[in-house]
Amino acid sequence: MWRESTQHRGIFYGVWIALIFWVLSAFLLGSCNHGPRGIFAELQEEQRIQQANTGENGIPTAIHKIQVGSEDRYYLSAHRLFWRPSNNDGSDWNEIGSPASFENIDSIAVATISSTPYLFASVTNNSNGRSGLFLLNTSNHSWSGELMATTHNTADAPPPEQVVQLLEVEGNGRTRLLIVGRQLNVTDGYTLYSYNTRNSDATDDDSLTVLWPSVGIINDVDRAGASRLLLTDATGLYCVDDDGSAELTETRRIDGSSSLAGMNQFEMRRLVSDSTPDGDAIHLGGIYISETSGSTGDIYVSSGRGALYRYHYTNLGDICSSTWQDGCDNTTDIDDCWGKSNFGIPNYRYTDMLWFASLGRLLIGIRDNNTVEGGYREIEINGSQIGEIHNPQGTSYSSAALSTTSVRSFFVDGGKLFALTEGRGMWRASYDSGVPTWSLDFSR
Amino acid sequence: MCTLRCYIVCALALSITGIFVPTLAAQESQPETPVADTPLPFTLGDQFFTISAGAYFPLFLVNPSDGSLPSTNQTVGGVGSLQWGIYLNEFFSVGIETSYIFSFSPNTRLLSFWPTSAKVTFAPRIGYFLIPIWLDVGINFSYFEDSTKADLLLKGGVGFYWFFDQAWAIGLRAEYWFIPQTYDNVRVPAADTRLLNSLTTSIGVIYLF
Repeated sequence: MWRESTQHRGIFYGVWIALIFWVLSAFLLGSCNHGPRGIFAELQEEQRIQQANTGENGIPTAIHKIQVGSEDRYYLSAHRLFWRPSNNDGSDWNEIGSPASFENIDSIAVATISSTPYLFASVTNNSNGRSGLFLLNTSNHSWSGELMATTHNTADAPPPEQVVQLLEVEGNGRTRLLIVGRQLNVTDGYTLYSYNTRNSDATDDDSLTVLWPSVGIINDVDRAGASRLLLTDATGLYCVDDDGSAELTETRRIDGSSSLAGMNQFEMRRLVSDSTPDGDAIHLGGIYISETSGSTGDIYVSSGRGALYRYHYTNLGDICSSTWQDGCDNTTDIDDCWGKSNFGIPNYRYTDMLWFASLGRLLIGIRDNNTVEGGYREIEINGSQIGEIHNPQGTSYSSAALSTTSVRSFFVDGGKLFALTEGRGMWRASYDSGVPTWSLDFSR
Repeated sequence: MCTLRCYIVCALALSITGIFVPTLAAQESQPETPVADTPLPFTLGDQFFTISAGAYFPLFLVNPSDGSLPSTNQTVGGVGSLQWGIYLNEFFSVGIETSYIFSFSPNTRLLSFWPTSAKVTFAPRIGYFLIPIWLDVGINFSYFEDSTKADLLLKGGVGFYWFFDQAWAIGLRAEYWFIPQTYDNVRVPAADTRLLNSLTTSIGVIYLF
């Protein structure tokens, strides 16, 4: 109707609308929340994240750089196996067909034998869940026969039917593969196998041995010198040592088999466990050994509750005989003991650690204990002191999905940093004046 | 919490709105006008709602620190708005308008605005056509990820409406938006101050009552 209303009705509406306007505005003003940057300024500087140049499936699990002929290549396992030249980051990823009957490429590891790199892949058969270990001929991308399951049978344990984790350990000029595996009908515990790659053809399947039967979930393994392993399982941080001889050999086994001399001289010690002063258990974290010059350095081990343990060593050989001591935390006054750093991020656990020389900081992947969110942080390491923690600078990081998902592992190639995430692809960055520029290199 | 400037901006915009309401309240009621077949001149107390929807075009930023005009880096987005107004006389009306604007960053991160403003409109009517021209001052809330910012909002616009009914009109409208987003080094560097210039075009419907 045309102008039916009375004026007082309009005034009534006006008063009410103005009142609502006022209340809403006051409420919203009280909720202002400033980020570290101005909104428009941050947007202005945001760079479009380069999209992955492949649409293939898969969560990236491992990446390695191998020289093939005159070309350096990246090999990436992500449900399938991919490769591309390392000097052309814009090039497409090329898929390599999986071995017959094994559709999934779970992980890859590289063993360098007589200066020749060999790429091993753990694979899984989708129909029966069985795993295998294959060797890739990088010159023509053909697969060897199944190495460990078809011909090998150890005296003390069958070969793993399913590979949970594939790791590599170097020392004394050779490389050993460590296989965390299990039998399909065994639901509790895993077995740690050592696969010796001493032969030049890297196909010595007779060298598959059991290092540690019935372990919990092994989260990370790194080397501490020639013959000492640090590893974590569900109960704590362990050190595996030998009897002080030059190397771990395939003839030494943890179960002391009489046919293998020297086996019983392995020593296992729990260094940090649930009984630590604050009851902080070690779970799924990274182990990082600083590359301090000389014979001293630091070993950092992260915990499932976001604590960082540090071992300041003057002699790597003493690692396995050291004990927990109060006062070892974050100080250089006491050598050769384990302590807990004051560093930590509440509610986050650490996934992987890596010293990024181009930045001069320790990078640490983090993950929310209840979700896969996390991203990563940069930590200052001043000598043996853990310094401040920093969020990566720049909008490239904050605007990338990388900043909100867990980083499974890092990989460094010179000045290039790769981050393999939990379901959000593999990201690549270079740092310029402390600011990373991230781009998505591979996505699902 | 917001800075003092946020509150000043808020108070300024709200006071403009508040001025008109008591002014209207002081007016005496007019006798009701019989329904006419053709549009009659607007008189004091005529009210209307306008609802509109259209496109948002970010134009450019101004960086006052160096005088540059960088790109907004925002995508073309959408806008929707609701306006209430009341006429003071045949040509002028006042009112308030609230809108929602969305746009995206280059990596498809959502940027949204919730502007609310007081409005003064000069709206000459020619037969069945209405050509309103308006100026607004108000507050714009910007939302981006976890950041929220309240800023002064200035905008002006023009429309062209056709009354297809005694109470209803439909038309086009265009508005130029100016949002100075200022910082003062308290928590965000002053160098991040940017002045946003943008344009919206939309289709609007007016309901008179």
